[in-house]
Amino acid sequence: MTLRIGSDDPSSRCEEKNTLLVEKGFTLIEVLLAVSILAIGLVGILRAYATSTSAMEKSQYDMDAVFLLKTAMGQMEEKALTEGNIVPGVSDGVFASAEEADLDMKHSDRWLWNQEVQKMDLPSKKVKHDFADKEKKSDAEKEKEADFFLNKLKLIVVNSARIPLREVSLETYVRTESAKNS
Amino acid sequence: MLVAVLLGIVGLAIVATFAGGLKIFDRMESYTAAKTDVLLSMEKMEKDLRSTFPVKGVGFIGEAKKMTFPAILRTVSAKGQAEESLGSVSYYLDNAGDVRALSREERTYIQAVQKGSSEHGDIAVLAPIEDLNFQYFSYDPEAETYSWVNLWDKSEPKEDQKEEGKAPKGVIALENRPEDIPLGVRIKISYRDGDKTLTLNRTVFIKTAVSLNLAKKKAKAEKHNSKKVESEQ
Repeated sequence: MTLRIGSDDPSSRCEEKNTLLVEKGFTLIEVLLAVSILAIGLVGILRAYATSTSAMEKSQYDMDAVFLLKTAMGQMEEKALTEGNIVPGVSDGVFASAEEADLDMKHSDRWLWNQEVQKMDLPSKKVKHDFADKEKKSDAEKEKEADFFLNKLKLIVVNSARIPLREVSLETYVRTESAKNS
Repeated sequence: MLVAVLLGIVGLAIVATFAGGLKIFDRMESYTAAKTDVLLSMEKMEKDLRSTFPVKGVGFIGEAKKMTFPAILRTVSAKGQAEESLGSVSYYLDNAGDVRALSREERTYIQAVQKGSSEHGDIAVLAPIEDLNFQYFSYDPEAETYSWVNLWDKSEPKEDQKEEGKAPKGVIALENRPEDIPLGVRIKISYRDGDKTLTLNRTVFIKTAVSLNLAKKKAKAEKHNSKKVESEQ
């Protein structure tokens, strides 16, 4: 009894050879190419993650900053009403009250504010402004006669924990009554 | 061996990418949408409040949990055109449902004057919330002091104004009574964020009332000064 492997037929030998060629698998070059394509794809995905995270953090920061700016502006408006006038000068502080701290319990002590009220060189008289006399009078005289002044108010909010520091500011103009009217 | 190492690197990179994605998802979850919703509803209230003004028949009625005030209503007509009309807007803490909500209700001028109910009903602006509080910035002309009060209702016409300055029929009259609307409103909303209850505040000053108040104060000061000059002469 003899065991035959394969066939003596030349055509069937050729088929066997072809089958071996098909089942050969991937070459190293193919694998490396696939890995590099995958690596490029993954780098793209990771970069998209990083971009979306920083965009989210930025929008979160801006939203908190605008909320605090509005809070500070509300406090200033209240002060201006109760005290009568806004005094030019610079002041700063920390958002530390219980109400403000609710915004972010962990980081409220890091939110700082800075306020600058700058008196503008525009003493104004209502309606009857004597333009002819304007040149002849001294600044002190003009200021004495003015009905009101314009102040430039700049409010800045910044979180000291953020590096690099990112300031969010708000600018507006506030009318101040002159001494003769207040 | 080389292929095994390469496959290992690929597997590691995929796992790291998924881990990064989950970390970002966690971060987004920590900054909950609840706070954003509260801030957005405050913006909406602020927009309505800033554009209010004294109107005859539609008073500013403010309570601790509800406020109703004159406002410009923006609607869309049957033809699809944007229309603006005078009416009133109410914001209040709605306890009726399963959860507490901040609701908004619009009334047309006629409905507001007749104290009727809204045509479209109320719309929940923000839900769920824990609590809602309003305070009103008031000026006392007698004592010349400012203070925050929990109740504001100047809807009843004053004796001297019942006959005087009555608007002709069919005409909506604006009032020049700064004391009819508060100078400002403080909104306090408490909401749940995970296991914590947080509160956000917003103070809105009403420009119309503030400028009318300042003008009235100034007129009073000028009157006082002229009287003083007269008495000196």
